[in-house]
Amino acid sequence: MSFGLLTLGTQSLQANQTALSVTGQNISNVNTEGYTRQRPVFQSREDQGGVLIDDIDRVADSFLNKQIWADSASYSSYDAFEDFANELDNLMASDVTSISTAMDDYFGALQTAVDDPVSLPNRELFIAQADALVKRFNDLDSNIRRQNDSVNGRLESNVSAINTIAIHIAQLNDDIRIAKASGSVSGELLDQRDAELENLSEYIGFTSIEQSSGEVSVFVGNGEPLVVGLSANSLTTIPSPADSSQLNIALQVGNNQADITEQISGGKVGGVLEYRNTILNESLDELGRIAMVFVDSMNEQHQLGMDLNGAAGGLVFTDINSSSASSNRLLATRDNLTNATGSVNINDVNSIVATEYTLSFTSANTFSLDRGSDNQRWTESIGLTSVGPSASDVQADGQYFLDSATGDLTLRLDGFTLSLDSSSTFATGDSFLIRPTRNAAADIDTVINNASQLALANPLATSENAANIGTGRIEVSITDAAYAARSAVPGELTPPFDVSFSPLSIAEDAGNTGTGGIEARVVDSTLSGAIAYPVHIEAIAGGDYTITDDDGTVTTPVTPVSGVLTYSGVAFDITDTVDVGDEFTLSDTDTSGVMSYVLVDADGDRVVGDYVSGESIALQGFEITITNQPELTDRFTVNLNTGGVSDNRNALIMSDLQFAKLIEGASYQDKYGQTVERVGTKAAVAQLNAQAGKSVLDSNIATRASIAGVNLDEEAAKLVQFQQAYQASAQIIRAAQTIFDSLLQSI
Amino acid sequence: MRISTQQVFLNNIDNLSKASSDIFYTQQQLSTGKRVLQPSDDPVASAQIQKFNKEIARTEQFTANIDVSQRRLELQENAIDQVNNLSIRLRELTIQGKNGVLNDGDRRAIASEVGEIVKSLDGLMNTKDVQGEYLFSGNKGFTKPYTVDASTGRYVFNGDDGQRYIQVGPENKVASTDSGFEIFEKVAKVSGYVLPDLTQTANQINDVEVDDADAFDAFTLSRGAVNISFDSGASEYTITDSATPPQTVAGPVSYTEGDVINVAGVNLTIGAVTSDSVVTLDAFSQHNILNTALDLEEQLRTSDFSTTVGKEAFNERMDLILENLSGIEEQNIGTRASIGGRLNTLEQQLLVNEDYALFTKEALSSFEDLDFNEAISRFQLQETVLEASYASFAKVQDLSLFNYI
Repeated sequence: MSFGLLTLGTQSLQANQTALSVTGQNISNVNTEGYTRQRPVFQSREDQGGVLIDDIDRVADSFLNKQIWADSASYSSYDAFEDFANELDNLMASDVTSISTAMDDYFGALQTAVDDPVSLPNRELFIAQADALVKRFNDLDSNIRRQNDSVNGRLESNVSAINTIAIHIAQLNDDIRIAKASGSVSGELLDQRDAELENLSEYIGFTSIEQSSGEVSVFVGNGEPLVVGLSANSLTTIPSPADSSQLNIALQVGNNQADITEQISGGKVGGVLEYRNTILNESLDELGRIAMVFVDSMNEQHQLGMDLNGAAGGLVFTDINSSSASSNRLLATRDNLTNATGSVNINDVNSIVATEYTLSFTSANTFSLDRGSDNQRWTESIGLTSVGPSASDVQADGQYFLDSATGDLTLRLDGFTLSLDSSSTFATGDSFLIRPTRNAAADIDTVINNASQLALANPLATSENAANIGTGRIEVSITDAAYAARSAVPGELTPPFDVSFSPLSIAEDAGNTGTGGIEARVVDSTLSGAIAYPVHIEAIAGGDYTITDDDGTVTTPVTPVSGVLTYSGVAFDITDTVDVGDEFTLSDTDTSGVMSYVLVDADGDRVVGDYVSGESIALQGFEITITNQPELTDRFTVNLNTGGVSDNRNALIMSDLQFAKLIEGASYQDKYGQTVERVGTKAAVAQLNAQAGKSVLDSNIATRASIAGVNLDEEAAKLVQFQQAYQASAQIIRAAQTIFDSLLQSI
Repeated sequence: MRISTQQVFLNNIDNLSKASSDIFYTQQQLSTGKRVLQPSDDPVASAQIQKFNKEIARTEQFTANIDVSQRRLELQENAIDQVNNLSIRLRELTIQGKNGVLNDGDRRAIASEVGEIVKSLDGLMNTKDVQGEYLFSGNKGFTKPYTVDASTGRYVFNGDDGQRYIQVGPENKVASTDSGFEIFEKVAKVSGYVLPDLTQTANQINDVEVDDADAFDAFTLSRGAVNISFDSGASEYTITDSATPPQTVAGPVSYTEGDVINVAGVNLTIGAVTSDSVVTLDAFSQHNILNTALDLEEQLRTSDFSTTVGKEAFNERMDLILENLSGIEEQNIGTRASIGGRLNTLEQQLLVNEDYALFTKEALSSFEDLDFNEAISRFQLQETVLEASYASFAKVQDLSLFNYI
């Protein structure tokens, strides 16, 4: 009996000793990360057989752990995103790096040049500010690109951390499997594996499945296996197929690499990739578009002007369609089967969309084109029209010319023209990236370096006759830099020319069948003043005319002499073909209330029309506008602006461009502001999400800690409890000994 | 709820770091005086801040433009004022010169004063600014506006009528220059004061006499200069106008030397004609102050006072000159009024711009600047929280059952 008591005491002693060491283990690991508190499970033996420690329970909640991993992946993702977005936002908005403040300085300098166009220091200042603005664009662009480098760096270091963790997990799987096979799995191994998984969740989002053998398999993206049982696959970074400056992530299984960039979400890797896709590239595109529209509109207006030396304005900034810029807008995918080269030319900066397009060939003569910003898709038959027979027939957006036999494609869309020239027919799977604006902010550069070459003046000037008595004012503006060549063609009005007014106006009868017209001019005002207007002119057989005045006096036939019909001090110039029966009405100001303007150049080329105040008269590459009420005897002259050094008209128009709504209804600076605001909003949203994610994560960690964490007070109590039980067990042994001793003594 | 010991510490650390990051943020706001430290703090406000800063920069530029325009206009005003004084003096001298009791010597004395005035006018009307840009040559800033044409002896205007506009407000452009064309050339015509401008290669015409000044003026205004072409045999002439194409006025007419051609109210006496030559007759119907003064000087020096006809012609011319000078003064007054008006506009615009800048700065401040009262009380609250956290943390960490067993 006492022997049983002794055994029982010993077992109890052992059980409580174990319980004490579990408590000790808990106390020692109070600060161990990932440690799950353990609890001894006592079990009584039947028939007063004492106690044994059935198991050391690990107080863990596997569902909560999975929740924490998901929360941690999403929090890390927002956190990484926010880091980059904040950096970019501060970069774009800071006074020292902002494009907007540099533009203020640029336009301020332009205004100073407007104030005093002959001042060379003012002009130098403007060029210096143009340089500074260009530098600002380049710097901001390269700073954003530097973010791309740091995205790449992050991806590389994160991938290597993920690989290390994956190997650890596989190793722990093995250890756990062996331990499980031998009957008992220690809580510490499971704790370690859970800690590794939690570590992994900081880097990448994953799903995990625990097999009955105790192994955990880990999948990233859409079920791509990172760890399967005992073996770990590895992630690698590979250059993106079309753009080698960006790294993608691939899963290496054996010798196969599969690009899983698009599928990854969550964790630092997911956040960084998300940032690259939604902000980094978009910001580069948007910044590029602002640079492109700015450069193009400035250049265009500047080329309409005249510089201090009287020469036509040149380029202020590099042409947006320089050959290197055009070819850099097109990227061919690395594993294309055909070797195609090409370029992207900008036709109309105002319709350019700040995004990237993907062109993929689905066969030699079919293709699809996707726009990144809104996933709009065009194919050879949807949304696009085939024109031919040559590439030069592509004249408008939405047209393309594809020669599948020789592998030539010319396509015009959204304000750009893509020209692709392949060595042979295009192959299925060939794909190209088109980035119309991505590099524009990096490509921008100033061309002009001589202050006197700034074209602040208008090459045409107007002057009025000192004897004018009317209130008429005349203005001339250039609409095409090639105005000189266009207007110098024989038959076209060539500056300098005179502007005068005539009381006569001719109206064509609506029923006329001929293509010709008649222009009237006064040759003798004493005679023409006596005519009874309106006068009807009718073409009759034999090339002659019948003229009937308002009093009913008929003059017939009147025969034109070398195309000029003469009647009562009025000469009629006949142009083109007038058919028999065509009728015209000649009125003068007194009867019709309308007078005509007459523009005549030195060659005798004439332009005549009804005078309407404020209506612009479009000529070859330039237009004139006369406002208010000139009198019949008033004269104006449109001259070449020789020596017009003090003229600032072109500079004024250039300066007005600051507020012109040129980019999607916004000015340059407004658009920039919108871009900053957009980045700021995304950064702020990411910040909110990160905060929310953090609090969810924290609360789940707190819940887990409250379940699995060690509480020293509790352990102290347990220590006392088990200690007492141990002491009591010792008393049992002592009792057994006493009983035995009593027995011995009694014998 | 069960709390793990680690949790107690970690939570405390978390709370402490949050409280100190809050207090640091507020401290940063206080030390910079800015509410928005980085754009993501308040993206909407930061977009507005950028916009307001742009507006302020622009308004400051307008103010700088106004300064430049004011300086320029005042410089012009000064020159024009002096021209006006001289034209008043010319009028006095004309009236004085008309006085019948003067002798040749008196008239010569007056003539030399007029000559001096011409020199002063020449200087004033060819004024340059500090950069060497002529004030009154319109857009041709480096072209001397008034020079003497050697063939006619009259001053010609070499500039153009370009006027420079400067932006002084968002929608407000003000002319900061005036061309001599506007100020000096657009003088009202004086009926009868039309002088012939004859261009000939040899002495084809001996004498020109304007018979009907108004007819001459009307002809040249509507049909341009009169061209008289002599044929190859120098026996016939044809008169055409300057229309496009030229219209024949008279001819061909045969002539002999000494014949008088009467065209457009002008009598031309034919002299020694060379064959195939063209003579052009145009009119000076408007006379700027320089040419008027030159004419006055010439009349004073060369008029024939020995005959009644000569005296009458002199008196008539003096009256025309007086009338012309009135026109010049009127033109001058008109220009000065216009400059004054523009200076006024600039002054007004300056006030508007200053107000606008003030409003914008206020609006900017409401977005950008810190409300110090709020921030300071927030800072104190955060300080209290942080101190309480420190104090309570010290107490909590002392609590352990181990201290009691």
